[in-house]
Amino acid sequence: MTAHPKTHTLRLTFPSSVNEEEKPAIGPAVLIDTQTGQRVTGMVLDVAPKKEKRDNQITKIIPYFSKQFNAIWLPLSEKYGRSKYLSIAAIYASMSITVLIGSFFVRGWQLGVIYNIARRMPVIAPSIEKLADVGKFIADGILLIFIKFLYDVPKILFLVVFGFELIEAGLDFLYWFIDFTFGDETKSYFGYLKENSLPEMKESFIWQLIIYLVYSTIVTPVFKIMSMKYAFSRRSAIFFNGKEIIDSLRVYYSRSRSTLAAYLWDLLVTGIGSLLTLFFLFIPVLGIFAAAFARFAFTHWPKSYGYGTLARIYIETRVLDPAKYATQK
Amino acid sequence: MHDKQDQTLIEAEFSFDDSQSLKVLDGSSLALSQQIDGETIDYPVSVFSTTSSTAQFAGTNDMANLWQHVWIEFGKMLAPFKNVVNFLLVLGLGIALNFLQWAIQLNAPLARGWRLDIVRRMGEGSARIVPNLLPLSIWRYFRKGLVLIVMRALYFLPHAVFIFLSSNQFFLKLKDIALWGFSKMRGKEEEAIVDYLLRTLPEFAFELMLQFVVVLLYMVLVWPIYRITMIKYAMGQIRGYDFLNPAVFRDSARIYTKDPANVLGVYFFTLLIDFVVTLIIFMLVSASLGFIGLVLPMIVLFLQHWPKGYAYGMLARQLVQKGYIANPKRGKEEYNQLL
Repeated sequence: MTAHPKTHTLRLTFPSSVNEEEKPAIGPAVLIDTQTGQRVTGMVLDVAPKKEKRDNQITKIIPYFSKQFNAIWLPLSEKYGRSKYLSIAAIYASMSITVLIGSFFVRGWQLGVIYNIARRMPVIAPSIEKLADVGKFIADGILLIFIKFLYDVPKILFLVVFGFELIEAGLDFLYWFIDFTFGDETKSYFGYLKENSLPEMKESFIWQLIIYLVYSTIVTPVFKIMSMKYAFSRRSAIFFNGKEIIDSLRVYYSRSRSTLAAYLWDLLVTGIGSLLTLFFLFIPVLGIFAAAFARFAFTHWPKSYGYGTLARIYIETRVLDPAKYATQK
Repeated sequence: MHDKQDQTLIEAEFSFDDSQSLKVLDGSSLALSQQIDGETIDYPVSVFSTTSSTAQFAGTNDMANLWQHVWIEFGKMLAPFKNVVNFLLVLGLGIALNFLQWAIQLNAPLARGWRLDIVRRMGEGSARIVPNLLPLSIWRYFRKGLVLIVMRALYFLPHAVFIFLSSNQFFLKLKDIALWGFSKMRGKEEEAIVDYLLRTLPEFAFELMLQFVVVLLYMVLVWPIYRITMIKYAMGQIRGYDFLNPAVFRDSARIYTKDPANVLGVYFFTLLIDFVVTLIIFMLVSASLGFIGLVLPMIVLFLQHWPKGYAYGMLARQLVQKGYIANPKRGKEEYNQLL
């Protein structure tokens, strides 16, 4: 199809065992995959000691979001992409009858997308060629949802503990209201709110909000980083490795702007998806399928693209090294 | 750790043209080989970044993908019906089932046992996968199907009991509230509604969450294990009562954790069949004003039991091929050649 073959340039790094003096020379060379024996001939263009690079590019939120918005239409702009995109969406929609299976599947698929974008694979969408591939994504999704639940247990406990207080405050109000309507209570509405409800509610509600926000903004991105590591290593034990969790916190901290931008994008598209779902569910029967397509197009795909580009930022600014996890196989 | 490594790293740019594809850029096993002064030196390297053209969503060869696979598998699934004898065998059973549905509810065990025989035949690698209709075989289908239905009920009994009890709690709570309301109206009740609700509301939420978790566990844990045990039963490797044997259960769980992809793939497929067939039957029944009910068992046999039996048969094949289920009668090489 293409008349002139495109040239690819790889930037390679050598481990510390190679001395500065014994570095490769500029000129013809062969790149070998020692496992498969695959060989690629090419040229070494330049050899240089690595410059210390700092992530000094400020992630501007508006250009970032507009770039992510454009990615929503990316699959539709390609001839093959369109049909593949629609067939995956159709599989997901056909699963929407049993909502759980669908959400398992789509999470596994997202992990595949994140991996492919992060590793700069020539094709973004992970291949689905047989039923076992669908099953593989479902299995991945079960694992991810289960582990996300375990990560979220402290948050849920806190919310439940403070939630009871909130319910209590609400019921106290109800109690006052009943008394008030039957004339037993003399305190006025605003008087009651000011003296009883608000102080009660304020404390528990504010605590709930703070815990929810803090916990989510810390743990959810860390979980995403951990799932990137899982995608590289394919070992589920990595999720409970204390060292790796601390390492993920370090990754998050050192690229906090990019991470938070991706997390905000995640929240935004999840919100859009939920709204669209609500809207479509007003249509009987077909609405379920339409909602599934909408969720796939406006939540799941852009979300995975966002985290995929985030993983790529991590790799290229060298805070995350996939090779380290790949060798642990 | 990264920072220390970074200072001793050297970077090289390596370029190659598009005609050479390098799929694996994992970095775990890459080496750069170069001739320096007539001597070949291999450097272990990892890829830092590439400047290759931007990625596409789908590649051109991706089109030989799922739908083609599905199409081929559908072709294989329908292939036995090209033979008139096979078609008549299934049709004969279908017609028999049509009559049986009036006599007594023998349909379900018979159809299920028949389906098990498809699984057995596919698992064993038989050339004929359509079950025969000899009187003795029919008795066997019926017996095996009955065992399967009982065992299935036992497997899902805890689930059913739990849901029943849990829902029962809901209704009891509702009844309590109503009773409380009555006695309050008659001025006999001392406890305030606020106190009452405070005591009961958290339990409501708890029940709901518990139900959800139990359904989830059944879907992702018990169902696949039950299906693997069913395949073993179909292949005649365990007896009916072995469904309740902890060792068998553990072995099925082990197989599931080793190869979840195939099991869950088939799970998805059978769910899809169930849904589509239910939809089709619903439409047929409403369009024919219920008359289609006369031949419904035959339609279900063709549209639901056959594809589901075939799907479980495919799973049985996979499990036998991978050696998770003992290979019946044949050596592995011979078996693989058969397929």
